[in-house]
Amino acid sequence: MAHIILKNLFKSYGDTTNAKAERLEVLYDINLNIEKGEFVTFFGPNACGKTTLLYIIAGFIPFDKGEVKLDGKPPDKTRKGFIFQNYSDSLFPWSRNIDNICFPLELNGIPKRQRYEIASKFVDKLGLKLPLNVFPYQLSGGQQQLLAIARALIYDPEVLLMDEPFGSLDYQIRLSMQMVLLDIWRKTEKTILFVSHEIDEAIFLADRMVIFSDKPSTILEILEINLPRPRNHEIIESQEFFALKTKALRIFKRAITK
Amino acid sequence: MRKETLLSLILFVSVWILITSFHLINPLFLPSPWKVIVAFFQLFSIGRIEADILKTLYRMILGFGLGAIIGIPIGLAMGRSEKVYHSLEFFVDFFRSVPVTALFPLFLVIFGIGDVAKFSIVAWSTCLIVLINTMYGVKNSKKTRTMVANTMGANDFEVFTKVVFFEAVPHIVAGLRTALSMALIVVVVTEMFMGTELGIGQRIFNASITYRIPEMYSVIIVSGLLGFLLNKFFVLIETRLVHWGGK
Repeated sequence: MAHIILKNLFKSYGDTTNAKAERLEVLYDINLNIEKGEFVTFFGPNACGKTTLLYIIAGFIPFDKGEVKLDGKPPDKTRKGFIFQNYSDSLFPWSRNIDNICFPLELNGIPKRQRYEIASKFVDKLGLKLPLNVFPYQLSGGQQQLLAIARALIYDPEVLLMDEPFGSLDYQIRLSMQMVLLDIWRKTEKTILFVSHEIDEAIFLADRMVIFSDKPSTILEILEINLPRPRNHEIIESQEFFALKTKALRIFKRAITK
Repeated sequence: MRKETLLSLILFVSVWILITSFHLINPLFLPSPWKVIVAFFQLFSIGRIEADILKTLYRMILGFGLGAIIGIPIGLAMGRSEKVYHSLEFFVDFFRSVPVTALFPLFLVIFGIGDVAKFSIVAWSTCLIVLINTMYGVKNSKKTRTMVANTMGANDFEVFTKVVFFEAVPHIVAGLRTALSMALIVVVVTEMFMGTELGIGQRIFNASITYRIPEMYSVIIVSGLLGFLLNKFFVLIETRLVHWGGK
């Protein structure tokens, strides 16, 4: 059985108390199976429902019809890490970085000294160079997002959901963050679902790239990204990458002119 | 002190000196700076103003503390729960629209003319300001932070105590700062109109009705300095305590 199963999934927004009110169809018959340890990127037009889908998998919002299962369990019964684009609104500025990372451990009732130990070992294991005794707002944007990623991973979630995590970083930082993320993924072997608006990013990171149509959103195509790993950004200049990108763009154009 | 601050201060006093030396305003209403300075020092040397300052501070801090202790929990509850919010919203909105001075007679009737009435009124106005700020602090907490805590398995109580409360802290402290200024205003007014032996408000009022105008000016300056220093002191604590504010 697949790790994550999305089956005939429908979602619309609107006034549920008023049957006559027009509802906005967001997701339309989504079917997708994701294997453990896979890196899957979601790509599609702006505001097409990719984030909605991620929220449903995270258990933040309900869906209308269909089935969502993580290891056979409903979304709210599983452990997930969620990374928002806006890292400064997701970190806790009143806590030092170490306490931010330790937050999930604190919830689990692990005593302070022990959780500090776990956290610093974990940060070392991931190879992150983060100053742990200062506050999040004293870090650069990229470092803050790494802090959020470390916090999301420390309690060993089954899946890491990332909603345009590098969307507000500048290009150079973005590239290096992609490399760091791939490295973290290799070390932790987590399943990652990653929403991106940037086509190079969506191809570069992925095992599979899911291309969505505009609202109501359906899956137009799932591209297998058979580029060799480990990858670095030189691959972007390769023929294979170019062919994949052309193919993705053609599908994407279909998505927006529909 | 910045150069501009010093210059504007010198300019201010110069204009004052000019006005008084040419008698542009009746010196009974605007005495010269020298007379005010002399009166100011006399307040401390023979005027026993310290006792008034202490009494005013005592009423103010007692009322302020009481108001905060009552206002913060109610504000937290109103921000947290829709039911509590809708039960209390009307009363809060109504009573904060009532000028606190209009309630003086009521407080006099209930608490008499002693200190209790005075710090109760201070507590009342402090409580409303702090309550509203606290409530908005809770209501404006970032959804994303709550979502993060939820994905990590935090229950509602943990989300509130470990996330939402801290998000409200900068708002609570800002409310306390506003309330502190208001507390000084209210306590001085109560001392003017509710009858008392000691207090800055009483000193200003008495000086004015007996035409000891330089003394009146100097007590006004004392009250201004008091408010100024209290605010500075509070900001000092605020920037240390709420280091993450606005970040």
